[in-house]
Amino acid sequence: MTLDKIKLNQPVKVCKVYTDFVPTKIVQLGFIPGAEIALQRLPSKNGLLYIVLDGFYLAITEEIAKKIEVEKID
Amino acid sequence: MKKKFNLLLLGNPNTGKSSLFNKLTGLNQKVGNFPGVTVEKKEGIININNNCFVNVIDLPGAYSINSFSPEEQIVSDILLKKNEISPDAALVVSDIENLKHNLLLFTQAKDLCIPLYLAINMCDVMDKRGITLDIMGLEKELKTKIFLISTRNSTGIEDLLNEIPKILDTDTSTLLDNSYMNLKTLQKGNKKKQSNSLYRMWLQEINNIPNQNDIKKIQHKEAVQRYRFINKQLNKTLNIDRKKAYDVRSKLDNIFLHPFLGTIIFISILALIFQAIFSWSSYPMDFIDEMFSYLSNYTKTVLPEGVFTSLLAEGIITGIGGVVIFIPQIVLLFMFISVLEETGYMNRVVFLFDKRLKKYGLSGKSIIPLISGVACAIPAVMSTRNIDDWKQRLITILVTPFMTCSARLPVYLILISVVIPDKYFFIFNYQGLTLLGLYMLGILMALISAFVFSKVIKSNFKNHVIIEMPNYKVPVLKNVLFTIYSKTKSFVFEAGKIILSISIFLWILASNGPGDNFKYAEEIIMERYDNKKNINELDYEIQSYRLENSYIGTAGKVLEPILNPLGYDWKIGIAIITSFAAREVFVGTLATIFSVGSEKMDTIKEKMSYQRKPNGELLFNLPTGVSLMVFYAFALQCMSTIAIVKKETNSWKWPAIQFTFMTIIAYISALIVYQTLS
Repeated sequence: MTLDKIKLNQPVKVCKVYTDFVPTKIVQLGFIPGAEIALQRLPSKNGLLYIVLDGFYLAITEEIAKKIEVEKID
Repeated sequence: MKKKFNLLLLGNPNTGKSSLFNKLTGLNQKVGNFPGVTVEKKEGIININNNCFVNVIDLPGAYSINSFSPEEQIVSDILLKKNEISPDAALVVSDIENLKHNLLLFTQAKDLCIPLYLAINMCDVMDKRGITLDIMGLEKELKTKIFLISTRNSTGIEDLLNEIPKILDTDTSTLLDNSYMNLKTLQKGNKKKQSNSLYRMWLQEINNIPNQNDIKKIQHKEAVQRYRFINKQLNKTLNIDRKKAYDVRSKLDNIFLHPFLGTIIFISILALIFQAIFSWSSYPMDFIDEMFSYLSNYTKTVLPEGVFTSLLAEGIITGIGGVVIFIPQIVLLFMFISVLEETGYMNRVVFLFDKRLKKYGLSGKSIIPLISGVACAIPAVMSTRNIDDWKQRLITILVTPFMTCSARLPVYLILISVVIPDKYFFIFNYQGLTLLGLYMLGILMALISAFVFSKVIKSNFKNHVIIEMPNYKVPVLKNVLFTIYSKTKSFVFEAGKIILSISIFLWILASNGPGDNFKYAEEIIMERYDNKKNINELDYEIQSYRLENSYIGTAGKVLEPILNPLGYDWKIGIAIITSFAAREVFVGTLATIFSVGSEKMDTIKEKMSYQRKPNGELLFNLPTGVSLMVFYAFALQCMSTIAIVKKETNSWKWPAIQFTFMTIIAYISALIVYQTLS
C-alpha cells in the first residue's frame, strides 16, 4: 500500500520510494527503505499528513505520500 | 601567533543554531544579507584570550548540501568553496530528538574534510524523552569531538567555547567510503585537483550532469548510503526508551491543530497582535512624534534663521523622526513573532493555513504580514523573513502594501466626510460602509495580485509542502530580546538611511522653487492683500503660495494634465506628491494649500467642501472623492515601504516593480471610477 493509506496506531515501514516522482528532499529527510512511519493525527481536510518518521515529526502532502510504498509492521 | 578563522554554524532548521549563535557572540553581531540574495547573514566575532579571533557565521538552516532553496544554495556554495566566505571550520548543531536526520548534513560536511565539531543541543530534555547517548562511542564512530549542550540553560557552552581555538587541528578524515560515486568520471576530469576533497570534486562533477533526473538518482543513492551509515552508528550509541518519554505534543496539537478551535485560537492571537501594533503602539508613537516636532521647533527658535536651520529642523530632524516613529510597531510585532516561532506554534499556523493560501501563491505564514499590514506595511514587510520559501516571501512582500494601513485612515476619513453623505441604508451608515468597502478592496487586490504574481514569477526552486513540526517549547526571553534588537537595529541603520535621504530630498523640493514667485512669495502676498488680512492669515497665505511655487508645486502643475482625467487639479497633485513621505501628509498638505493654518479635520473639511474647479463644479464631489480614495487604496504612496522592500529584497528591482504596478493599478482604477461616476 502507499503511505496516504496509513491508519492511526498502525505503524508502517517504507519499502519503496518512487524516486522519479518524489523530490530529492524527501529522501534526504529520511524516507528510505526500512524507515518506520506512524500517523500522528487523523488526516485533516487540508490534504496534509502529520506523521512521525523515525522520531522526526513532519507534515507532507498526500500527493507525495502516494509515491511512497509502505508495509505494515507486525 | 594570533589565530583568525571563520567558524560556520551549520545545521537543520529548528536545531537552536541561532540561539547558540547568540550565546557565542552576544551583542557582537552584525546582521546583513549574503551578497546578491535576500538571505539574511548573521556574523559575530568571538575573541578568545586576545589570541584567537573567530568570525562566527550563522548559516541558514539546511537539511543537506544539495540546494532546494536560496538558503540551502548559500550553504552549499560556501561549503563547496564557490562563495567568498572561506569554510575554515564548522560547528554542526543538531537536536538530540532529531539526531538521525540532522546527521545527514553532518556526514556530508565531514566528507568535505572541513574541521568540525558536533554540538548536540537540547540535552536538558534527554531524561524527559527517555534518551541515552554513548558520547565517547559516537565520537569514535564519527571521528569528531561532540559537545552536549543546551542553549536553553547554557549547559556545555563554556566547554565548547574553550575548545573552539583547537578546532583547526581536528581529524579531517572522511566517514563514508566512495562506493556511491562514479569515480571514473572524477578521475578523468579532476586529476590535477588532488588536494581537494574527493567528495567536493564529486559534488562539483554531478552538478555538470545535464539530465536533472540523473542527478536526482545519484543524490537518492547517496542519501540512502548515508542513512545506512548513520543508522549503523546510532544503533550502537543511541537509545530511546519511548515508555519513559513524556510529551505534551499530542495534547497541544489536539488544541492548536483542531480545525475549528485551532482557527479560533489563531484569530484571537492575530487580534491581539493587531491590537498591539494598531493601538498600544500609538502611545509611544505619539510621544516620539511630539518629541521630534518639539525638537524641530526648538531648533528653529534657538538657531538663526536660514537654510541650514531649515534643513536641520525640517529635513534632518523630521526625517530621523520618520524613522524612529516605526520602532514601537517593529518591537511589538517582532516580540509576538519571535514568541510564536520560539514556541513551535508558527509551524502549526503553516499546517492550518498553508494549503488555503497556496492557491494564491502565499504561505500559511503570510497571514501575519498581511494582517500586520493593516496597521503598517513597514514591520509587516520585515516579518516576511519568517516565510521559508523565497517566491512566497517575495509575493507576500509585493502585495502586503495593498492592505489598508493606518496612514490611509486620515485620508479616507476626510474624503469620506466631504463626499459621502452621512445617511443610512437600513441600519448601515453610508460613510461606515464606504470605509469597510475600502478595507475589503485592499484585501481583494492583495489576493488577486498574489495570484497573478504566483503565475508570473518564476523560481528555480520548487516548493514542496514539507512542514517540520517541532516540539512545543517555552520561549527563552533572551532569544526574543535578541530578535527584537537585531530587527530594530537593521531597520534603523539600513531602511533608515533611505527614508532619511528621501525625506531630505522632499524637503529640498518643497523649500526651493524655480523663478521669482517662490523667492519673493512674502512680498507678493503682502502686496496682494495689502493689510486686508491679519498676520496669521497672511502667514498661511505665504506658506500656501510658497508651496504652490516650489519644485513640488511646479511638479503638481506639470502633472495636472495626467491627473485631470481622474478629476484632480494641481492642488491635489501637490498633495499626492508630498504624501509620498507618508500618506497622512495628504491632509496636512491640503491644509497648507487651502491656507487653513490648522490640521483640524473640521476646518480642512469645511474649506475642501467649497473648493471649485475652473468650470465651476465642486472640486471634491463624489466622483473625485471616490476616485481619490481608490487611488490611495492601491498606490504605493509611502517612501518607507519602498525603503524596507529594498532592504528585504536586497535590490531596487522589486521596489521599482512594486511601485510601478501599484501606481498603474491605482491610476487605471481611479480613472474608471471617476469616468463612471461623473
